[in-house]
Amino acid sequence: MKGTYLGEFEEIVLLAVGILYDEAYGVSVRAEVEQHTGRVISIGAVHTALHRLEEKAFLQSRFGEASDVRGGKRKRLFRITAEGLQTLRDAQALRSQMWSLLPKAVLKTI
Amino acid sequence: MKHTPPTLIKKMLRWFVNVDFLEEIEGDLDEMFQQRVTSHGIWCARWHYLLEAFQTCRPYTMKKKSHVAHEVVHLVFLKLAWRNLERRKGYALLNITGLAVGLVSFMLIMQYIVFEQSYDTFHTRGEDLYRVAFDWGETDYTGNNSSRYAGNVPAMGPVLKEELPGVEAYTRFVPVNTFKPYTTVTYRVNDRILYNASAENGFFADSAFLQLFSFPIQQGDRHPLTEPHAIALTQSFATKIFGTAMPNDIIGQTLEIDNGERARYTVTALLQDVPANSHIRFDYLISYATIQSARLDENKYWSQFYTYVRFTPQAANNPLTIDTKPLLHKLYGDDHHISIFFQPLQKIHLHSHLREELSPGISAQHLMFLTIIAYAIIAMAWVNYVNMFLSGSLERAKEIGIKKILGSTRAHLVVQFLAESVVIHMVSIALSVLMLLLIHPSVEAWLGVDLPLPFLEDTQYTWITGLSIAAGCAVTGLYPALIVSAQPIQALGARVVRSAQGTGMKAGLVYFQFVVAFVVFSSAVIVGRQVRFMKQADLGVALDNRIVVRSPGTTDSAYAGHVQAYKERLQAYPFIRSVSFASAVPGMKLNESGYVRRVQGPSIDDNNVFKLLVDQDFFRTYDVRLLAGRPFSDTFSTETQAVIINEAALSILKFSTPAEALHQRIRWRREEYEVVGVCSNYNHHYLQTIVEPLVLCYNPAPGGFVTLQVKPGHDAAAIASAKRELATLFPDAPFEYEFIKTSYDKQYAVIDRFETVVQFFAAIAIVIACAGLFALAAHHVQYRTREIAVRKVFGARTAQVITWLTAKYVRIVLVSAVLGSVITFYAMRQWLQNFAFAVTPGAGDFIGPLLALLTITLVAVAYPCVKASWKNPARTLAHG
Repeated sequence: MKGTYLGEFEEIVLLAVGILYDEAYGVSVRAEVEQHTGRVISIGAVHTALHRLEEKAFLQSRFGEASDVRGGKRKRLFRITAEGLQTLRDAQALRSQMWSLLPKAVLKTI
Repeated sequence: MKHTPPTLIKKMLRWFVNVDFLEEIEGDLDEMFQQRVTSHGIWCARWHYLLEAFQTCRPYTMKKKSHVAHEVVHLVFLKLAWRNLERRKGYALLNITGLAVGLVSFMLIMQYIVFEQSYDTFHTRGEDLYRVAFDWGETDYTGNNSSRYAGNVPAMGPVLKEELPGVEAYTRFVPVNTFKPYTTVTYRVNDRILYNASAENGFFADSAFLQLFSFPIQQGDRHPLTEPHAIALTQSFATKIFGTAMPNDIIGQTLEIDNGERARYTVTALLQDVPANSHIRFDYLISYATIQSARLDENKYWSQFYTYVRFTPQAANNPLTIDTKPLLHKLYGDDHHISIFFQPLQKIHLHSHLREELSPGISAQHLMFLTIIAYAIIAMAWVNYVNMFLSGSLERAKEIGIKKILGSTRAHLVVQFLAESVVIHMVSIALSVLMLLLIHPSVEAWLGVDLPLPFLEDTQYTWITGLSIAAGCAVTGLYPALIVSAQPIQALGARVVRSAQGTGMKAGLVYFQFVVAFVVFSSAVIVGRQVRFMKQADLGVALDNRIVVRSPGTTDSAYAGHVQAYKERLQAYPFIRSVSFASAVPGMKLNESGYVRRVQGPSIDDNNVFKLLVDQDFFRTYDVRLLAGRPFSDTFSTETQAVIINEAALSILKFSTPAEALHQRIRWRREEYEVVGVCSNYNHHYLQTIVEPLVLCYNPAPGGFVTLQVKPGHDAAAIASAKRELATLFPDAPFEYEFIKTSYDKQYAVIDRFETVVQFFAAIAIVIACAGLFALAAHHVQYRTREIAVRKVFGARTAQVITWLTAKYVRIVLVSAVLGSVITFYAMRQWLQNFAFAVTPGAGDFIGPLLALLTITLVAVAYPCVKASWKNPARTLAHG
């Protein structure tokens, strides 16, 4: 069984899917991630992350409408699942908890 | 205008990507493409499309459950292929043997070619090394400049170093036999002679020799050639002299060397043997200091001192542009034709053909010819393979049809046929490697060189052959697989289907094979005729029943008397007809050359004439014809000022008839002579070269060779008595003899070898071509069985059927012969220009091979044709 561990890139993609809500598919996710992180990301990497997240049941997908710009091909639209949302929450909670434990001295040096 | 993404890449995507992911990926890529077209332009969009298409190809997106891939993985195709081949054993055997023979021939020739090309590549900084060649600027009587020497003059090396800033270092060396045509090495312990034999294969070399050239020192002094009378031996020569003594015991030993006079030399180093691919070859090196003198260093006219220089890396790029005029002006003043030129060390073996080359080179033309043969033979083998495959596949039309109906895709069939090709190619490659390893030792022995073992050592060889073979196998495997798999399902219905695409190609390939076979065959005939012509030609000198003995070396005060005694004693034997001393005998190198003039009379053009020292019996012993005058005689006291010239020298000296030359005075170098005779242009050297102009001067006992003319059948007795007499008169001289016919023909060794190679591969080419034709004919007849039957029913006789069936093959041979004759004619005319005396290719050279090839072809196709025409037509028609 693949673990529920969430990598950094996966976390960002998962968040992007969440943000895009009903319009999350390869191209839009890539644009969203690029916009927020400022990194250049290949579509292949986005696909890989999306499919891995789907395998972990954090995402579910369906086919959307076809369009001319897509050469008549349908979009594969992703939506975040309850489990996915829970994992994101857990990740956030973990971070806040650990943040709160940082001593003041450390925060000052930065 | 709407742009579309590159279709080729799209196709690749569809090929590789799993259907489950394809739509999404394609769609996303397309969408991004369209975005980029508007934002960045079409080229940027295309480029990114390509990049990202590759990036989407990840393991999980790949096709997984494709049947073809699945079956490839499980080796189903190999199994099927093996079964198919097992079912048709004859076909498989013919294919595999044909391919293996072609492969072996190819690998062998390539191995040899790479060896020849590897000459002198083992020296460190070899690309900076150049030989300085010497050009006297003199022409011979044919009008060619024949005075370009591989050697140079002793004075040149130091001057080069001084005058040319690009010259880093130079080395000079000279073969030991340049001074006296005689060198022996004697090893003596307590007055007991343990080794005593002539040893011509050595150089006087200066101490820079081992610095410039990479001939590693195995043992001994790091600078072994500094002191006078020092000698460095190669490992194998040392073993010859000392047996299996330890290297440490050899260093410091004393050897006696007789090079005109006997002296003692100290062994200072042991060298590794000279690699087979070195054009500089020697058994030992003696320090140049031994012969060095101020007078020799100033000598600027003795062009037998090999001089090599090392340029600085900057200058080595462009040594041909170096201006040597000021330097030559300094040495020779203004009034001369002399020039020098630089030859890159690594190009000498293939491209330099000067006088006095250190070892026989091979012409780049020969190598080219061999390369063409190599590729032609392997191509023929592959052609056979393709043809047999195409023919064989027609029988399998049913199999292909059924497979297609059962759902095979074209990819299935291609993979299946490819698998069969792979099996056949693998087996034949394995077989050929095995064969190559088996014959490798005998090839080495035959060529007389240590060839590096294939596949292991020489990377260049491995690459060239490996890539050629891989490419060939890929094409010959793929091409028929593609054609055959394209056969329509209708193949199932029709009884026989012609593969229309294959037929034209097939015919073309057969023509190609026969043209190659004919060219190689007729070339072999012409090469053979040229060799026979040279060996059987009237040389103007009699060589049979003449035995040549090395003359004793030491020329002390007793020498002349002992020589006289030796001659008299030998001539007393009834079976020895005559005995003659000469400085060089036919077939041996002529050492001394110079410029001739007339003392009075017309001025003479530049020239280069060789001198030969002979005694009074030379002309009688060799049956050399005198056109005018008399032979030498020991009765005149002034005979040492007499000279006999040959016809070539006669025309250089501008005498119109032999009689006119008699009693005229001429000068050779600074020596003045009176012409007492004119001899015919006998071929002192082999017929590949022109007859050298010669002046023959009198010397009753020149060092060099003693020739015995023996009564036929008394060779053994003559040799025994010559040995006995030599031992009593010259106890230190080793006795070594040769039959002059044999030693003369040694000059033809290279061309003999070339002839054998061409003949051998001609035979292989013919066998391959005929094997292919046999298979083709068998198949051709097979699918016309019905036609033959119908013709017979309508009254055709067996003879008619056979004629009709074989006519096609006769036509192939005839057309190929015409094409091939043209190619051979031009190629061979080119080749024959290497020979001063050459045959002219004539109709006979082509008719012979044509008839032979026709006969062989008819024999090859006869069996299937005759068998088919004898068949009972009723049976054929009834049973199909």
